[in-house]
Amino acid sequence: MPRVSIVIPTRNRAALLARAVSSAQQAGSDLEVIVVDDASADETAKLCASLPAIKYVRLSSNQGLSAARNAGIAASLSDLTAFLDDDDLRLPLMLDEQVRQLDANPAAAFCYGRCLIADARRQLPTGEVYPNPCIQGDVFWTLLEHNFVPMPTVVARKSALVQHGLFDTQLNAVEDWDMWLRLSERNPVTAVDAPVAIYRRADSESGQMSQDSAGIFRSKLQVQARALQLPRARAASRSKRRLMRRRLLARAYSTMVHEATNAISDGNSQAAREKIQQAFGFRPFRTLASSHSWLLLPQR
Amino acid sequence: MCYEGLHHTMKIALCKSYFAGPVSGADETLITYAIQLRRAGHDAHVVLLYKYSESDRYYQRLRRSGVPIEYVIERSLVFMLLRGLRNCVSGIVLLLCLIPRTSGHLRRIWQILIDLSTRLHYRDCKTHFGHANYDLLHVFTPDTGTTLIIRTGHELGIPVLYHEMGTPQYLPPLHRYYERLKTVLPLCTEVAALSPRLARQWLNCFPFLNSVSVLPLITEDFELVQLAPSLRPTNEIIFGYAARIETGKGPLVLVDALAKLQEQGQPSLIRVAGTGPELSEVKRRLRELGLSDAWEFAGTYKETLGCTVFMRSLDVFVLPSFAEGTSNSVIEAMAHGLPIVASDVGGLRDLLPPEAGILVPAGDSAKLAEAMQRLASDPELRARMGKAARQRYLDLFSPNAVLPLLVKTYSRVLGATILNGPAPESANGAHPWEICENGKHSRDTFAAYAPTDFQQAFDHVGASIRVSPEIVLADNNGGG
Repeated sequence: MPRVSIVIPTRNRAALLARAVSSAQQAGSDLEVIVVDDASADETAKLCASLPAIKYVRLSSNQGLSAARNAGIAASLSDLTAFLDDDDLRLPLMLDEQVRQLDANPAAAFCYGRCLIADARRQLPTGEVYPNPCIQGDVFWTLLEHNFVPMPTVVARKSALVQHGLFDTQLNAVEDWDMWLRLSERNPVTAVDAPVAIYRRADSESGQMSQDSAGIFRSKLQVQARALQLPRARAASRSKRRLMRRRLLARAYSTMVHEATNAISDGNSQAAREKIQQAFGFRPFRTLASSHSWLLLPQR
Repeated sequence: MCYEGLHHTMKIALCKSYFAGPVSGADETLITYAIQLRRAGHDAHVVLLYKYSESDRYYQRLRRSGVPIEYVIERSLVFMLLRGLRNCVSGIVLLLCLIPRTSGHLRRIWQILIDLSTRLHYRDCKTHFGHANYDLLHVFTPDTGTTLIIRTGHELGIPVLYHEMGTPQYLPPLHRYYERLKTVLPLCTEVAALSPRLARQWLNCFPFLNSVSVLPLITEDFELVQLAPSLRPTNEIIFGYAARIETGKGPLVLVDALAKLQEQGQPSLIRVAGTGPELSEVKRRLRELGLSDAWEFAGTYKETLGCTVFMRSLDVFVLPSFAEGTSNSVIEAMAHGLPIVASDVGGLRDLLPPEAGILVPAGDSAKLAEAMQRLASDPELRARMGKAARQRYLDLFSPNAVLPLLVKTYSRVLGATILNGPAPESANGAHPWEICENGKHSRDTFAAYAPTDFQQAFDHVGASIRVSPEIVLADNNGGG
């Protein structure tokens, strides 16, 4: 029985899938790779048939990322499960290091690591490394502020995933943050303070889900609101819970302003206007006081 | 280590006004010196005039390395009032900045107010350094509090080593700092520059100084990191640029050079690490020339891991600046074994002999493109030059090369002689840039320095960068 199962959900990205699978197979010494095909219409099935030593699971209809991951967990034989998106890559042999970390910390629900951020087109690392630092132990309150756990770096205990209800299939985005919050509420977390994976950053042409930042932050606010109803959060003071929400709103605002600034430097004033309007939705008074507030004026 | 006249280890204070981050060459230098000195067993402390922020990454690096960090002024009421006033009138300031040249005037007024507020803390400075019993103050770069720290050291009889991080071809906003620096440099025991060429240039700028010594940057070597293969086309050459995106660093020259490279049919990608005030203009020019697909803004790397990951993705490193000291990013690229194409400015000629890099006139996009094409079309040349660049880094900037020179400099500043055994030497003998007391080089000779008309190059791209008349004169005379 392999020690770790790497679950790779995929849909209509056969061109990138082969590299993801190859990197997964080199990530450790004792593992199985499970590709969960979320009803792809391209040549994914044909490609997977040609790939050696993988387990192929096909969903009969498009059910979304969470359902695909849950299907992968169900199909796995190992007691540890890692996750990798089809456009990301695992770094060689780092999975073994994470397994050692979990063996040394039997109470930890999952182990994560650092991630190299790569550009969308060539998957060349940009030099950005996330997160910094890698905090361990009781991370629940820090995690409630923002999700610092990169998905392609996680190795989780299957028993913990099952006990906490697997990934929520009702969530289309930030379903991973929701899962990590539920896991970390009552369990410590461990980490490897070194790069273990490469995350492909979204751009306007990459087709990745993580482009609509405002939509992502709205989902995050919903996930945070749910997590603040967990018993441990409810036991904390109201001011502490409100502080978490304010901090997330502040992050949303900063991201929108940053994207508006980028849009201005790209010469795209329409996009900049939209970003500032979205920023207004998160922090209206701060937006009015900012130097970008003129973008809220009606366009002539 | 015992010194005649001293019966304890040297207690060194590496001083600066504040961390100017998030990415600052001078901060990086100070931190690296402190960490390396500490690792080698010396009693090095970092002393800031103003209190650091605990979320500052340089502070965190020092903490992790066990280097003690102190500050003189915890809270400057005057500075907080000034900053609050500035925030209140920020809207008015923004409008005023639309009037030509007003932003320059406003910047000067702000600098004057900050300088005045800093001088109010002279007594705090004297108290702190008076109690701390430092043997030597090693002061970096001319910023707000530099003159205050130097004056305090002089008043208390503590030897002061001033370390100039830049070049006489500085940008106009820095002029005020250098004018004030001239008034306190005679109070310093020794003044150091980053390379022999820069030492000669500063000596010409400050004729009241008898000599300027050389203290190079220390750059720690980089660990190998496992990476996965990328999706790059096999015949595409990747050029890297890591610097602030501002006129003085020549990004627009690089855009023009890329256009010429594309005309010659060379598949190329320029990867840029950094951001800055010229970002919009660079993007506009790229769109105008249809080069957006051959250019990637890779963000900003903030740590050594990020640096090595970025550098390892490159084939050639390019820096077409108009003014440089000894560029941190060029040294980092050399440490990674990359061939370099750079402008022949500042101290870069000291870093890059012809076998390790190609130097081109500042502002000349045609020559820049020619150099880039030469490297793009010859993989053996790239490999050879990369290897030579790596060796040059080991000889000039590695901790093993620089630390003995640093300790020798400290002991010379202290006027002490080392009693226990011979003077510290690196495994390869004296540092190639070690300068004897009269300012002459002990080793390493240079080809005659061909003067470059910097002002003409600046005008060509519409920049308004001041050129020190002293330095042009010095170069026309062929240097030291």
